This record gives sequence, C-alpha cells and structure tokens, in this order.
Amino acid sequence: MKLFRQFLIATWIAAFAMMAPSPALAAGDGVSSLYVEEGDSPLLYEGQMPPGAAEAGTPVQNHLAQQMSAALDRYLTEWSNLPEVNLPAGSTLRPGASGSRVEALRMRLGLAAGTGFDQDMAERVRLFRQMHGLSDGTSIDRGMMAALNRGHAHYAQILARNLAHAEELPGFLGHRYVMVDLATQQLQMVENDQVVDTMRVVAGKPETPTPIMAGLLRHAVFNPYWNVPPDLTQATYARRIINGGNAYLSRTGFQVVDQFGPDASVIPTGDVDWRAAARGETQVFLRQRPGAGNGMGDMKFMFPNALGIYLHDTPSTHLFAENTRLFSAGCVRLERPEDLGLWLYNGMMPEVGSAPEQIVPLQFPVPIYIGYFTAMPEGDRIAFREDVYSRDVGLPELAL
Amino acid sequence: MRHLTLLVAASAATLALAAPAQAQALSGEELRGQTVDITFADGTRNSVFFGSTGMATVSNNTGQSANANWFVQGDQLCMRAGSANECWNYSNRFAAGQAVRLTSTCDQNAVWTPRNVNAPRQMVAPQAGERG
Repeated sequence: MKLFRQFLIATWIAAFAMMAPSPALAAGDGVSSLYVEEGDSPLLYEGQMPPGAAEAGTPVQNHLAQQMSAALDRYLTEWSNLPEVNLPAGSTLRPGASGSRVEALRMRLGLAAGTGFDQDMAERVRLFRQMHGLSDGTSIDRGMMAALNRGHAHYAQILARNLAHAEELPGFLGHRYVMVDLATQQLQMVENDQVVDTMRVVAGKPETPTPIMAGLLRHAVFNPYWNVPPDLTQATYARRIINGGNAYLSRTGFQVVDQFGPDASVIPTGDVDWRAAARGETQVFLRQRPGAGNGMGDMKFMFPNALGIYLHDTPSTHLFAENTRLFSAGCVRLERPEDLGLWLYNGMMPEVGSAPEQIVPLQFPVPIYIGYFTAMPEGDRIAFREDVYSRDVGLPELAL
Repeated sequence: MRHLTLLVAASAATLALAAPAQAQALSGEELRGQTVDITFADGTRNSVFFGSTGMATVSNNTGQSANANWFVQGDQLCMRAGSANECWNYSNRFAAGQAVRLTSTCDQNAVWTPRNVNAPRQMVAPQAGERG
C-alpha cells in the first residue's frame, strides 16, 4: 500500500515538473508547485515550534495531510481490488431492481453474486457515492455509472496528488492560520485546527491563475493605493489610457508615479509615452488612488511576496454571487474583508482616518496557505471538486 | 520553577521598557523562530524560543517549560500567559551572541543573549505591485 502511494506521488511530481508555469508567476525549483518567499520559509517550516518539538510529540505531518492520507488509505482499501469491468449505460437503478445489469454491478462493487438490488447493494452504493464526490443516495444514476467506469485509479491519483500538495505545507500549520482553497474559491480562518469562519473569495482567471503559496500575513493597509504591476499596465491599462485619455484617467483615479511605496512621486501622465508603454519599451508605475472604485477596496492584507499576490477588498462585490469565482488577475478578493480584519486583529479593528495607505502591523504574523484541493475528506465523505485550473488533466496512467 | 513562572508572567511586561533609539519601529522580526538565553540577577537561567507566529516557549535547565504569547508593543517586547503580562524594554535590534541587559515591568533585571537572529527584511515588496 505504501509503495503504491509513493509511486502515485512520484508520478504526480514528475507530471507537474513537465508543466510550464506562467513566467510571471514561475516559482521555486520547477518541481514543487508551492511558492514560499525565501525569508518566510524557515519561519513557516522551522520557526513556529521550538527545536525538538517533533520529538516531543508534534506531528511531522500536518493535520490536513493526515486526513488526506487516511482518506487515501480508506479509498484504496475499499475500491482498489475490485473487477473493473466496463459497464453498459442504462436507466437509473434503484433498490428493488433486478436483472443482468444489477448482476454486473454487484460484481463491480465487490458484492456476492446475485441479480437483485438488495439492502447490501444499497449500502454499498451509498458508500461508493460518499467516497466519489457524488450526492447522497442509493440509486445508480448516470453520474455513478461514469464514476464506476472511470475506475479507482482516476480517483486514487487525484487523492494522491492532493495528499502530496498537503504534505508540501509545514508539519505544523499554525495555532491560527488562513487557508484559501482555489478549487472552491473559499477562505477559512482556522484556530487550533478548527475552522472558525469561512467566506467566499474571487481567485485568478484560468489564464492568470492564483499561484499555490504559503506565506505570513504581516500587516494590512487601509485606504490603500492599488499599485498596478507593470506587466499589467503594459498588457491592459496602457491601451485603455491611449483610448480613453485624460477622461479615463480622471474617471478611474489612476496616476503615474516614479516608484511604488512611501517615497513615490507623482509624474504628469502627459510625460508618459503610452504607446511605448503598451509595447513594453518603457516601464510605467501606475497606481490607483484610494476611494470608490479602487481595485483594492478599503483594505488589503499583505504577506509580502515577489509575485504581487495579496488578499484584498473589492468594489466588484456582485461576483461573489457566482458559483465559480475566477475573475481576478491573480490576487484573492474577499467577500467580507472586515471580518477577516477583525479576526486578524483579535476582535478590534484598528482605527484609521482618511489618509491614504495606512499600514497597520498585525500583533504577530499569521500563516496563510493558498492551496488547490480538488479532493478533500469531509467526515465520511470525500469531496471531489471541479478541476477549475485543469491541473489534474494529463496525468500519466498509473500502472496498477 | 519559580523563575520559569516569573519569566512567563513577566515577559509580556519587561520587553517594553527600552526606549527606541532608532526612528524605524522595531517589530521583533530578528527574534522570530530564534532562541534567546536569559540570565537573571540571581543567576537563574532560562531560554525562550520566540516562535515565528507569536508563541513563545520558556524552558529552564531542568527540562521544565511553559508557553506564552509574545508580541511587540511600541518599545516593549511583551509576553503574556493567561492574565499574566510582562514587558521588557526593547529599544534596539538584537544581535546574535550579543548580551543585552534589560529590565521588565515586574522590576526584573536579566541579560538576554540571542543565540542567533534573522537578517533584516523589507516590510513590503513595493515594486511588484498587487495583481488585483
């Protein structure tokens, strides 16, 4: 069993190494999908607990990986040794049905030979559905037939991939931490391994996916500027400014500065050769003034990183009503930024005035993990989620 | 044990007393994930591991240990365990191996010697912007 799992993980890592990450977001050693700022890595992996804590009983594997590992073991035990015959399509079968299709399905599910859909078969169907991301029930519908015909290796591979991803995270995730799952576009606030609050987020579009990251939330910025990454200015905003001129700049509140940060000086927009900027021949630092319509909203939560990925408020709140929320250029937009702020500041939001870009440090850094979990144990169930970034596609077939 | 308890109770208070000599605010960044040896006036020795995300572990040479939260507040480095709070004056960045005599809000004196410290880090990465 263990060898099998190691093979799955090695296969996944090899497969990922062949994927070319977006150059702007390329990170790490080319094998791991996880981006961690160099300075944060020792703080997250070794710095949270005293040396020797592992020997003193702190698990080496984080609780998420433990759950994934148990789920994979359970999955393989239940479903990996059954006859994987291809089953013909047909109408939905329910308890009480009988016939040759039921006979074939009983064999496929590892039940005693027979032709009737009895209570044993109903329970087996219920378990299968629970462990393959299907809705609760005892009927064999089209979705369950598709899952049966995909075979166990398909699901085991996804679970193993998710386990490997969880194992990349620190063995101790933190007493308090933030977990963003890109597959579900949800954010969780976690204390002592218990989820204390959940909110929807908007993550990166498939063409500008939010990277998988770990970092340390260190401060928030209230009444923030939005500092537009120069490559976004080139790709998107320079053309809009060429077309919209001063009216566009005035309406949107964009201004050009000589650099980002507290020492920035504003440059007259007329001094910029926008066509050269659109061609990438000159780099422009564009920022949007605080206020209504600012892309960062009223606050942004910073875990300093070279990728320019942060959590922030947004004026585009209508997008949180969507079932799939992949609309950003890579950042994570928050449904309820005030609630995250309250939690990060231990129940008391800082009092800030109207001045722009007010930086308020957290009392202590809070780990943040941005993951992509297409499978997740949920009690007795295993939820298999939509592979919205197509990262589970193209994995090599497993030799079973 | 007395000093262990005392240290935990006092540590949130004592680290606050050092008047900052620099304009740049200290955040305790240099101590995150590092251990500091602390020797009290009566010769008692403790070591404190300053966890990177705010948990401190105080231990003595008999193997006893206790946990506290640690944080920087103004010019004080504080430790809190339950309702006990002690802050120490914190006016300058700590340096590896460099002993510093500090006083706590509980009127304790101790010499702090970090075994190692983290290199200074920039608070923000301004030129990357935010991808939005």
